[in-house]
Amino acid sequence: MVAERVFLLVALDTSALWRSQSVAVSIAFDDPRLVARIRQREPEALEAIVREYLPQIVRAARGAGLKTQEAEDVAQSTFITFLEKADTFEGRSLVRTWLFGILFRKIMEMRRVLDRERHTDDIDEVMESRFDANGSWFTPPRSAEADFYSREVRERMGECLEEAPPKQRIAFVLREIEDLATEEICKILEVTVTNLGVMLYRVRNRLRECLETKGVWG
Amino acid sequence: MNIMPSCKDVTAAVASDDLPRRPWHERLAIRLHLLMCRHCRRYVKQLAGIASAVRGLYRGKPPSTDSLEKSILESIKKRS
Repeated sequence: MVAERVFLLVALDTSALWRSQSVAVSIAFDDPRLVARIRQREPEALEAIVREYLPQIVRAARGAGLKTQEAEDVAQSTFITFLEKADTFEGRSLVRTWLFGILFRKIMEMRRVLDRERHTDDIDEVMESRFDANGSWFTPPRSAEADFYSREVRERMGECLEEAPPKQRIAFVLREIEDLATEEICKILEVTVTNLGVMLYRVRNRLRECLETKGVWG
Repeated sequence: MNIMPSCKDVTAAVASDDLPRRPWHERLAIRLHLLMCRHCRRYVKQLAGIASAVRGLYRGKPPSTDSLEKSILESIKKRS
């Protein structure tokens, strides 16, 4: 009984701490024959892909900080690029991974211009100051209570998300909103697992610190 | 990481989603730390609250993409 409990404790992964993992969209989209149909630009296959993934692509673009019109424009542009490059699709990744990869590069191109003048605090230093020499909390979190349903808190959350660097924010969106697995996010962002871990660490702590500064935690 | 992880170790492992890649004994030590440390539990709860709030912000009723879908499908027809 004790051994069973220990096993359960160990078997749980980080995600089990607070989120449920959704099952990746598959349907016929994992069918190897789909690769050939995409490469031949078969209209039915391309249309099915647009219908399946457009809402997800628009949502991810909005989550990454684009306004509704911008998100729709970048989604359209993502599918046009997908269409233009359809004959080069080799099926080494899922269609979804490929689409998110195109979307990510387009958002980064847009953001690179907008973020040129932007400065952000170094969250690593902020986190260092949170702990003493032994690694124990020096200034622990005051409370975990927040009324995320209130309009005011939602607005503050929106403001804090705006302050997050684009790449970190996209990593966060792919993880928390789209529920993608680590390996798929790494392929989309073209980063290592370690790099993704650093990005998630920074963006989560940045949001947490920002919400604390804005007095969101009760 | 030491045999007994510090709060700093625990927050780093949790916030970077690194727990599944840690050896079993580290995962166990982190779990035990969380059982004993209310500050770290509060930290994990904060991250959970943030994740759930962001999901709520973007996963609500999705805006209609019907006209956009129509426009993209027309592009496909023209180009194929």
